[in-house]
Amino acid sequence: MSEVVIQAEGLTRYFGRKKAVDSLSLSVRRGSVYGFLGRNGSGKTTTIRMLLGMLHSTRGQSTLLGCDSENLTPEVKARVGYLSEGHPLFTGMRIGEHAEFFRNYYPTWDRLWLDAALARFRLDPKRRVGTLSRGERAQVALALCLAPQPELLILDDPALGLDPVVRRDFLESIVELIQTEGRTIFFSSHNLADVERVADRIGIIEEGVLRADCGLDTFKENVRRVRCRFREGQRPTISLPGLLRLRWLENEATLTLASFDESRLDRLRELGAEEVEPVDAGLEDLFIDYTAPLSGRV
Amino acid sequence: MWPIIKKELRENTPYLLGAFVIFLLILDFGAFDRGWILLGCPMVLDGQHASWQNTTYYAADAGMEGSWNSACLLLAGAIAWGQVYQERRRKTWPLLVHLPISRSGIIFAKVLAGLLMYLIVCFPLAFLIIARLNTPGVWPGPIYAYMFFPLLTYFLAGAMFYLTAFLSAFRSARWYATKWLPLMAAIPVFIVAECLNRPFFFWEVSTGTPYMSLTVLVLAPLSLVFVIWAIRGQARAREY
Amino acid sequence: MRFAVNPSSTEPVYAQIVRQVREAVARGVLRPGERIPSVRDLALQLVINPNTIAAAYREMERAGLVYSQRGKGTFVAEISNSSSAAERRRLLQKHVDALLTEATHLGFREEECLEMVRAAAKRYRLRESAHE
Repeated sequence: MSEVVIQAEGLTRYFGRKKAVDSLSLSVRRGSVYGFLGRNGSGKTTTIRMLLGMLHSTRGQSTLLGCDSENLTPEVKARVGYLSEGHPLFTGMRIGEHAEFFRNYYPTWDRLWLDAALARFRLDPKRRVGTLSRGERAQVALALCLAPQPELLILDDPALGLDPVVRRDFLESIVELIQTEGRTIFFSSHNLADVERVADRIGIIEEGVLRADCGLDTFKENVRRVRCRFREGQRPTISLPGLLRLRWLENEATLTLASFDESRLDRLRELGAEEVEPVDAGLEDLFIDYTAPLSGRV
Repeated sequence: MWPIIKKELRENTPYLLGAFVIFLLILDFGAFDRGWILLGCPMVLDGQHASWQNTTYYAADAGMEGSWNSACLLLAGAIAWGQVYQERRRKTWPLLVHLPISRSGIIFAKVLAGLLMYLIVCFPLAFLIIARLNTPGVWPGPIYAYMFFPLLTYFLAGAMFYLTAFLSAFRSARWYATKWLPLMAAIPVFIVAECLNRPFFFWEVSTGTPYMSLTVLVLAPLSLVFVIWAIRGQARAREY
Repeated sequence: MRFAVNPSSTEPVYAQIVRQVREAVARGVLRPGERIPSVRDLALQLVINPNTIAAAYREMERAGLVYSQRGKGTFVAEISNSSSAAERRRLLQKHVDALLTEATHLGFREEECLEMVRAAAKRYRLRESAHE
């Protein structure tokens, strides 16, 4: 089994004159859980579509499981699970019929697992997909996606519109899937608390450009929030390399710094800060500061 | 292949039933001046009789040919566009395209399903027409098999129209005007169908302008090949 | 023992787990020889990437906090420390200094401080006999 399951090099895509994805390169190793993050309209779905060969890239190339994305063979497609935006399903069918439809195509389909999953969600296979609620449809779509026990799972915003219970259950399925040797998961999500739990690598895409692509721990070590208190009435101009965001409250400043190290704290003390301490910040807070609109950025 | 076909049929059964009813109404409407096909009024005879040479009133021509054509066309078009837009609306193209079969395989399965659906609706209706006309007391005069020939030719022409309609629905053309261009490929086939139905007309025209008829005869199968080739190309190139 | 992790904390999750196990062992909540959940079970229970859990377990094994037996599971090890007396004093001194700094700032007297330490010590499994 090869080590790299997703490889993209210089992927670029224009829609008319708009550049939706700009020279995106990344590489995902087997066994990884990769969280692909970005704001709405940043190019996540476009990238995913290109990786799956559903959209031609204007420039650049990518491979899945070693196979060129634009020419994915049925054999490779059988090993890749894909959940597209909005959990689409064939609304005319019953759940059972839908499962049977897919089962025909995947030799690794685990029927028992699916039956158990549907029973757990209390979803009767005889129900028509069209009559399901949003959350139920998502559960079915997720279950159908996981049933073939795919080697590589690509999910586009899987938790969209789901309630916390369903989201947690889905995360558990992810954890369970990743326990098996050799499985890889690549997913985009706005739910950063969830991403934080299960991802070991993240990538942040902004206006088509991949601005971060590193381990989750590395990201959280490098991008840090620091709180510092100055003397009453003081508000010095703070200019530090890698300063992403700065907020003042009276004489207290909260900064978010990229490429953090201790010297930054010293620098703040030099500027007159009485108390300087790094504070806990979750991935969501850091992400917000990292992708803050340019006008808000220092 | 088969699961996709079964899926298409299963999903569209209610629509097909509706289409059947509408088709029937169109046929009846078309036969209005000659009497309702199913509801018993005897057909009015014009005093003409049908013959191969002297072509004009075939039984299907007894007011129904016009409506059979239009109904076949409408049905074919509706099925083709329906198949494409249904997936587009539900955003289920990615589901289909990601299946572990070749892209062309997926599209051809859909096309086959569409043609099958077209057949399923047309067949009983053609049967109804034939049965009705063969019922004693409806058509005064002998009934010849070739009278029902136009039913077949327009059925086939409609199938061709289905293919072009599918292609035009499926392409992602930048300018919407060019989106309907593929429909033009159906024209030679329709001309051939007309000619086959009215050999007299065909011979008349061909003695006048022989090359035109020959051209059309050659164009028709070329059109068919072109459409099939174009669908295959689109299946690979289409962005989902 | 109940594990609880906060993925949003700056402290890496694997470090949180190691810390919690250390504390639990020190307080006697986890006793030597007791079995802790497998990587798989804990990952599912906490809904955390199993690699993170595995990293925690590796770290704990390396530090001699736990040991694993193939097929049987992972168990708490006896509290033991092979560092020299001087080294051990040096390591603890840091924490003593931190404690006393806080106590000073908070305005505690020496006796109050020591009293608190004595009371708390009862809840921990401090060694009974002296080192050789």
